[in-house]
Amino acid sequence: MSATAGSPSLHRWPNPGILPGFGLSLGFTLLYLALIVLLPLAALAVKASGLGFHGFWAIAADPRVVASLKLSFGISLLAAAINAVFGLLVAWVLVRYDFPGKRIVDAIVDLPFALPTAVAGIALATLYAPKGWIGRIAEVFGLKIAYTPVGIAIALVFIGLPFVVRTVQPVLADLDQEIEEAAATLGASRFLTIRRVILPPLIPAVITGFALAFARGVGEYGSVIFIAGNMPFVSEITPLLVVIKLEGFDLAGATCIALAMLGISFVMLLAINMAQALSRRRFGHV
Amino acid sequence: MDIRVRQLAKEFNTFRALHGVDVDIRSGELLALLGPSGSGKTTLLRVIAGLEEPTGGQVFFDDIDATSIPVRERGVGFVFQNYALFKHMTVARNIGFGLEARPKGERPSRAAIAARVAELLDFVQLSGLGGRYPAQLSGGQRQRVALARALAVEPKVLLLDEPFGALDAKVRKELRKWLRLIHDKTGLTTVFVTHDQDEALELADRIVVLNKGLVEQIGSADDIYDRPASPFVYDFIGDAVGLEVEVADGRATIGTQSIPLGLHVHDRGKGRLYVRPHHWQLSEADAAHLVGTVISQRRSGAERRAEVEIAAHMSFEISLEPGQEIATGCRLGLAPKRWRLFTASGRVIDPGVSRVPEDYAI
Amino acid sequence: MSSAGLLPEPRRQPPPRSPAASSVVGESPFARAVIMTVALAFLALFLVLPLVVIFAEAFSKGAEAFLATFSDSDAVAAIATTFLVTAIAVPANIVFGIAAAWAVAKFQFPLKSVLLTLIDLPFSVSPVVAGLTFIILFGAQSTLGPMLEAHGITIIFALPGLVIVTIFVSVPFVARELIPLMQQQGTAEEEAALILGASGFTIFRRVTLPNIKWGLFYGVLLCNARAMGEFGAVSVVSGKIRGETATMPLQIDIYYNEYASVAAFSIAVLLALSALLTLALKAALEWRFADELAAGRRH
Repeated sequence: MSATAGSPSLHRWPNPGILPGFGLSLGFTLLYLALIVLLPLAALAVKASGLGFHGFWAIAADPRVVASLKLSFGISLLAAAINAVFGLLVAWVLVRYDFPGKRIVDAIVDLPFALPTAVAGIALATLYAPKGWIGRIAEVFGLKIAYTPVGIAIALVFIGLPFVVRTVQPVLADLDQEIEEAAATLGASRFLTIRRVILPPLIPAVITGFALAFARGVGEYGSVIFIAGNMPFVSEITPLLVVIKLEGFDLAGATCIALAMLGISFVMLLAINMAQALSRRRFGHV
Repeated sequence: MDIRVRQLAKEFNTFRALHGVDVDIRSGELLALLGPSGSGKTTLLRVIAGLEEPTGGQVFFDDIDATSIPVRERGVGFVFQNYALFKHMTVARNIGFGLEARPKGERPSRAAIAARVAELLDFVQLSGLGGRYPAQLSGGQRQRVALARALAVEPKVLLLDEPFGALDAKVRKELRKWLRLIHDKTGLTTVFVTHDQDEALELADRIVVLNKGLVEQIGSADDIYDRPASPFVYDFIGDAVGLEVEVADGRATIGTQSIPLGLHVHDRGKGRLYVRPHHWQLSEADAAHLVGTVISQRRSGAERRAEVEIAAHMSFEISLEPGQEIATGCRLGLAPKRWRLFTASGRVIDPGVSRVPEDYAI
Repeated sequence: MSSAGLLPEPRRQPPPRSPAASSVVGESPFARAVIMTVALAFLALFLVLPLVVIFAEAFSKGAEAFLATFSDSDAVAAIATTFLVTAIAVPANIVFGIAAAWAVAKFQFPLKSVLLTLIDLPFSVSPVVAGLTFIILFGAQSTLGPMLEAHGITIIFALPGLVIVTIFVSVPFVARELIPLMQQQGTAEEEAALILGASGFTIFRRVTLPNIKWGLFYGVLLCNARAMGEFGAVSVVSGKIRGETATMPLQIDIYYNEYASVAAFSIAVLLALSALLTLALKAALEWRFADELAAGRRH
């Protein structure tokens, strides 16, 4: 398809524009995407379809796999929820308040995007290990963070935070401050104004941020495995299980688990998207 | 309710938006705050509403000092320039918001709120649109929702910031009449901000002209138009030429020419002589004191305008009857029928008013 | 899925605010203080502390121990491998990003939104799964792998594998920055150049490129950060052969599992410094050249 994209014989696309380079740029783009993105994903699909439903179910219904899926999705949802709350708070502070060093705080929010996951992983593991700076304090209260599901949640909160902040921040900045003044002239308290006037228009953005953080959390590997402890049935995430299967040269097993993960992700994100559409209809008549 | 503003000052960092403003707003009147951008008119309105804290001075509602009453408790109705409607609420919920926001004890019942909302929708001629969202309304309709929302809480005063600024010309004219109607029906003390002189002159009982944070003049449309209190008001409202003149012996001299002002003018020194385009008496050039050459002319609405040059690089517009044919290049004698002289020493001399009333003092 | 799996949507510049907006209607000073304290404490705990611990651990045995890491040939090899992989993957994605942005922003054609979704797809695939797909495609059990092997080309557990998965995970960055930017800029300037008789390459070099240079730099910055730091996908295809197919993040993993904590954190320091440099440059671009980045990057 890349070769014909720019050819004049293709009458369905008669006039893409008058500038030169359409055929070359689109052709190259499609070829590149086909080789780098589509081909491998197609290979995954072909491999999976070769297993058949029974072959798939035999692996996916394995209790260890089921436990890891529950853990991965459960903790991802929890971390995304924590990020939804604190991300909103951070976005609020960055948009609404002025304080010294605000530019630096704003920049540092993107740290999880810029810091390699393995680096974040060993740093978090060290920090929350029983002898680490925070782990030591937690131990006093009888809390074990590293090498438990709590540690996984911490890593996923770290990874997901910028998603919520960066989706909410522009919407909040665009929010007309006059609506708050309008609410005040109508006698509404600050709390009521926040609850009924400011938060509703932000909800679609918060849900988007939540979905992004959740999707990233489910697939996350590098920052989690160091702090997770990786105990089967307790703190073993699904991506790790894929790696374990691969290391055992069990390609079919790895494919099955990856497929189960993608499938559940897809269904959950679909549900979140529907909630999103509903909230837009409810709150987003903009 | 009447409102008295005393020595009001407001500074934003280094910018002085208001310095020492005094205004008395009479109960039940429709008052316009008029001025160019940056004149402080919106700031004055927001200080009255309680949306800005003044850096000095006081605001009285009747005899109560309202300066420190928080905006939530001030009981003002405020209509924002861009309406500031709650986009995620229906029209009905927008209008009912102020009532629903009241603390438990004072909150009307659900049915009472619904009834009040229906009544207001009817009042602003939007019956049946209560279930719509603001995005589904036209600009004029949104404006009326904003007004109904402000009226729902039964305010003691209605404040409107550039109420027609965001509308196109035709809707603006319709809503202008309609606002007058609303004001007359409610009898509320109403203050609106505008930069459009036609709007202020046509709509308001009285007009406050502001410039650089100071009041230039307060008065009726007649006062403002016929007896401008300062060169600024002359320049800002209506057309007029302000000639730089040298005054001596009852004459105003411009270059080599001079205009007799009358023997009662004993002032000497520099001054600005203001004349509106239709206040020139035209005559033959020979017998006149001030002579000019017509350099161009054009039709402007109901009248004809001619550009007259009285000296090199010194020209102004005069108005002619539409049927009055004057050839370009023709020389004309000019004498002001009405004029106003502002002397450098601060005196205002106007042959039309025998005495300068105190109100007009700058 | 319209939005999930993508980066935050483009935003508009917030409207200018009056100097004292909401000075009267905002939160009470007490509420403000509480909100700020909670938010900043959260950021300090989750973002700053992990950053600090990297440096503290790397220098916990002194500067000599830190420096000693870099006399280990494995560490040096890992650094070299990372630079090599990045030096191939990033330029490839720059070329792709420019081509894709040129096609999408300057022309009209059907199914454009499908193409845009496709470009974003790598963001929503778990890195581990990304690695898995290339194993399926080129691994020992595939059809292609042994075929290429017979011609002396090894992909999995070798440098080509590292490069190709790195390209996969960092495909969207440059394109995602340039597409909205070039759409925003329209085609008027290019059309003017065309009328003046400029050739396609001249138009791009003299008209388009000067307009998108800061946006391009921004995209490259993000692409480079991801390419240098990728762990999950490369760990699956690399086989972690020391001194050969270990990138810096993989070498960190190797050291950490051998309890060579100082060595692991010493390499982590390099990557953390590069991340901080990325953030600083990114912030500087957003601050200085906000008008020349895609609308989505102004804040």
